[in-house]
Amino acid sequence: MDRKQIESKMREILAQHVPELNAKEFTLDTPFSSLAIDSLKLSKIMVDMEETYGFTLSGSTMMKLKTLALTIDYIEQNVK
Amino acid sequence: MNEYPQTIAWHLTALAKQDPSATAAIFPGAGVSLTYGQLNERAQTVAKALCAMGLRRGEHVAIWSPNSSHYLEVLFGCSAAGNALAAINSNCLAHELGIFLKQSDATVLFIATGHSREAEYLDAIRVVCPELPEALPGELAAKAAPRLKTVVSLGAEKIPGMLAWQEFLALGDTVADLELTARDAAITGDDILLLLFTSGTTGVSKLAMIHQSCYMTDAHYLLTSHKMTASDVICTPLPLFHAWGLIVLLTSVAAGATALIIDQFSGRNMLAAMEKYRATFVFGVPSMLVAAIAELDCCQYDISTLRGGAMAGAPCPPHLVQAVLERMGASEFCAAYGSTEAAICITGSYDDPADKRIMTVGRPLPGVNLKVIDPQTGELAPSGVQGELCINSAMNMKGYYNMPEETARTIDAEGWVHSGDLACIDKDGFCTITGRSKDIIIRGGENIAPIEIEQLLYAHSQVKDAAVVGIPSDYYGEEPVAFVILKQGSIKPLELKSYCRKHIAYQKVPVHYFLVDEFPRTGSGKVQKFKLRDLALSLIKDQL
Repeated sequence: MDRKQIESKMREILAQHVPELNAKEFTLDTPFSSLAIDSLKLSKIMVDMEETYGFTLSGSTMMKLKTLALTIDYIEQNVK
Repeated sequence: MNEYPQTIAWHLTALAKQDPSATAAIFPGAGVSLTYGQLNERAQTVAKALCAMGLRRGEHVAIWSPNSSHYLEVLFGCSAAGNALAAINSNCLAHELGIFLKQSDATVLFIATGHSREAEYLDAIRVVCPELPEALPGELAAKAAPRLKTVVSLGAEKIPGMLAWQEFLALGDTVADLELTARDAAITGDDILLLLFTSGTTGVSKLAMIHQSCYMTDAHYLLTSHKMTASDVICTPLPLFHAWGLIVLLTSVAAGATALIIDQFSGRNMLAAMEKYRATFVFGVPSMLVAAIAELDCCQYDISTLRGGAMAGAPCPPHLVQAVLERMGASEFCAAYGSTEAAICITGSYDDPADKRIMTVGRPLPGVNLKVIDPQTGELAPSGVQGELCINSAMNMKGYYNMPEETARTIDAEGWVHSGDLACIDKDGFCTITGRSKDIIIRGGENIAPIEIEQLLYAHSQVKDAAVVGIPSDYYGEEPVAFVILKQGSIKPLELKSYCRKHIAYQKVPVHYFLVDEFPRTGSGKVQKFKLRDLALSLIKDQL
């Protein structure tokens, strides 16, 4: 899976849980904190990421994934 | 001695008479605010409706809801009617809801609707009470919760088997003011106000019985120690089912201040609300303040009105307390300590020296006695020596509901609550929490009993044995991880995680699963969890 595919899938997951997300304005470096993601949405995004990529995530790790670029880096490193 | 023997409803009414137009609470997510006059009027209506339903003084009522204005109306209404409110964790799943309803003996359940998890809530109550859709309100006969007679939806929509919120309130029209006043006069600060669920080391949840005057007494001590006034705006992102969330709310009421209650938590939502409403205090568990500090790393907020507050509910890392002081500008902020069983906030003060507010949880509030004992001998530990922290005050819980043996194990004959937390107290009386003697994981301020998760894992057809431990988390303080021995074959960790997610609330679901052939054990066969904790940390390090 290359970076483009990961980005596309992650955008799909985010759009599903954050319908108000403006895809054009949302860049690789837009902080996730600027989106309306409360703790409940965050846990649902986490579940989708785990089920899509087959790894387990902790709350601490999720907090470190602050942008789409960092998330893609993490997925690249951890998907076997 | 209890200096504040009245009920919380009595305090609310007094404030409503004094300044009815003052803002009591703001819910920024819903865009709702309540004045003291409105809150008091609505609480009285709830109380009348409970009377009209035939609830006797002392009967139990339950609420299952995220933070909302209706939560406050039900809480103060129960206080005025003399009914104890069982506050159910808003994240629980169907089978946990069933346990809570049965354990609390609640005859009425208030259930939130009109929020993002409405469908899950409605599915869950129908799983627990399949009889509900066909039942008439007041006549529910559910096998799983035999005492439950009525379910009230906290929304406008009519749902089969439930009373809609307005229908419920309309019942109160038949009760005269005088009738409620007469009932109210008989209710004292000794009546049970709250039934709060706590995790036990045995995995069976317990219901701590908190009396009316307990929280108002604690609230008065807390507002004095933080020098709050009616002009303050007190931000609390804490859930209202949590003892810490309730005490912050009641402290705000005791001060006649405005409670800024975050109803959709994120660091961004909290800071935006603090900026908009000019918050002067913030109270939370460490993970909430971690989220706020992280948000400040990327966005700017004018929270210059912020003065103080406290963090408690989980171990408070000194660097985080310092960050709140420096990055959020809350110069009077402190770490604090409390327990559901012994009033939720019993230490900490704004005027302690900064290093003490950062490095310790402070000194006990007025009326609170602390001591540290050797857990083996029960003897008083010398100053500065670690032992089990014990608490004695008029704010101690009355006991665990229907659990006299558990109560006797927690509160000794002299009235000391044995917290299960390890601590030391220095010669000046400052207390430092150093660990725990009980097998409990504290994730984001919520206590989790490992045995509950272990029992769930045992129940999986492929699992032979399971051990759950807490590992340090930058965000939540601790998070659970599971070690599993399989009977045979193989299973992916994610399958075990999905299995857990189906059966327990998300905060209890272990984040990682390690398949092992055996557990490190003591000579007597007991699992050495400290070794598993170290092993988990090394395995996670290897993974990342």
